Amino acid sequence: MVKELEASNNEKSFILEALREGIRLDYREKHDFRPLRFFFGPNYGHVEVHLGATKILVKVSCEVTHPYPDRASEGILILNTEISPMAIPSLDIGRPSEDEVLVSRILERAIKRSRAIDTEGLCIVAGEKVWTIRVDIHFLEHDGNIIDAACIAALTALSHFRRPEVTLVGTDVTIHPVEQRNPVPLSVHHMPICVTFAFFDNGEILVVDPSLQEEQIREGDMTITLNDHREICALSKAGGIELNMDKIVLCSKIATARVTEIHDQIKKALEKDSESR
Amino acid sequence: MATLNATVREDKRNFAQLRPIHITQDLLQRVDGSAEFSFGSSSVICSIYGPAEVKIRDEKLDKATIEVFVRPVIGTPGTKDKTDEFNLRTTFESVIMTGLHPRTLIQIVAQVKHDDGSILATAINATCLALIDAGVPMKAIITAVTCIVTQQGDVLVDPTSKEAEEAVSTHTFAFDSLFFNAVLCESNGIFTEKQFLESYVLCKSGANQIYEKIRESLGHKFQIQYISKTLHFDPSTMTGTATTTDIEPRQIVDDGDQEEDMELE
Repeated sequence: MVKELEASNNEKSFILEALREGIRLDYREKHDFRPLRFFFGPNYGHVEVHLGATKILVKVSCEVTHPYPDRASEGILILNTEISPMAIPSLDIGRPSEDEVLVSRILERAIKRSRAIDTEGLCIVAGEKVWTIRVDIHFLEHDGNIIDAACIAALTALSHFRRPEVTLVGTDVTIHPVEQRNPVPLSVHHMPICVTFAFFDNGEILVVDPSLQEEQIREGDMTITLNDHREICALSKAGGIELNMDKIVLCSKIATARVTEIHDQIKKALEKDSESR
Repeated sequence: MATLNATVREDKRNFAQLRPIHITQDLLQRVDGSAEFSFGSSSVICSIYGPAEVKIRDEKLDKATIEVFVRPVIGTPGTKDKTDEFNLRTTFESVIMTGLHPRTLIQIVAQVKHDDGSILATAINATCLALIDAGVPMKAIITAVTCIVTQQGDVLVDPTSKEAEEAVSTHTFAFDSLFFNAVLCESNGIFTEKQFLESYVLCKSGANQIYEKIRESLGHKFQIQYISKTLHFDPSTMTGTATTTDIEPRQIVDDGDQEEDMELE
């Protein structure tokens, strides 16, 4: 398949020169995110998030299944982050690309390993019946920083999602259809949000939420996952240039401010949607 | 026999009525063409990439290779999606002028955004619009409609997933815009010849309505492109919203040249 076009030398030096003067091609400040927009679908758990031109569609669904034998009293959370050729036309189908593996790892760590969703609350009958919550993340357009966009979209969708109510009498389980009883939201412990940085000029210049062009010419990158209580849940820096400690502390401070803003935006979008329903 | 104007469907439509159609073209920037088509809440977004370089094992010496991916909104592609891929590919192989682009690849990705019945028909319509947006030469426009035959023997056009569940048979037809002949006919279930012919006729009239809608939407799109060209507008700032059918071009021209604006009337 066609290889992705790399940025030309001219483009590279143009973007770098501009960054040295503190200008980004889309007139953003270095530490700013692109505008976030949320579009909620007709059903619960169906959200489309636009981060600038990057577009992510997330659909959360649930079904009743058997639990894992070693975790009999816990529900199951599945993340599906298959990248389709719609976002990256040069994608080799059937073989997960390096990007895809990285995205799924980081999201898995951010959402599953940080225990953002209370899986124990998804248990119906221990060892027999639990809810499996499936989060399908579809990448519609890749214009840089799909990790942060996917993370925001997934958490928004999980907070938006409602599962049917279940009543238990003895060992009889009744699942009430959505039309009969109000569906219940998932219990979200905290909202871990990823903030990605790109580094240029040996770490001298750092930008938040890199666009595709910036991603193509960056020298290194780092993703910090923070929750709304200002706690770091995960930090991933896979290769790239070496950074000194001060830079990492600086990054986490910037990330804290961004996460607070993003969290407010998600909350506002969810409130606005619940009013209109 | 169905009484055509009875409003007995759950969403108050009559038997031969389609759900509201919504068309948006040129949504995605990185691919060569894209479009979203929806019947009510059923919606599919489709992207086209090509004509591009093709893998040697897929290369055809005399024509373009067409590759189709259908991606469901929940889970990974399964048997049903593979069938849809096959139907889409065979339908569009017959109308895309593949001979003009030998040894290339035209990649079609149809992503279901919301599944509420009639997905194959929605995907065909979305693909056709995306192909037009990408500028891929075609012999005709293809429009598709699904209908079902209920247990009572009624034929319902454009079923929701709830209606489709209770259907005895399901029929999807796609028609070309030149002669309105069927280019795809996919039927499942048990049905009589009469029911089949009735389905055919109803789908044909539905397909005609969609064709008119597509024409209308393309008219708007080209009109806006024409205005932006003549007034030195930057069309890139208007992509997405500008091609939505329900936006009038007049709203966009606010401080433009009055004379040229008049010529369009």
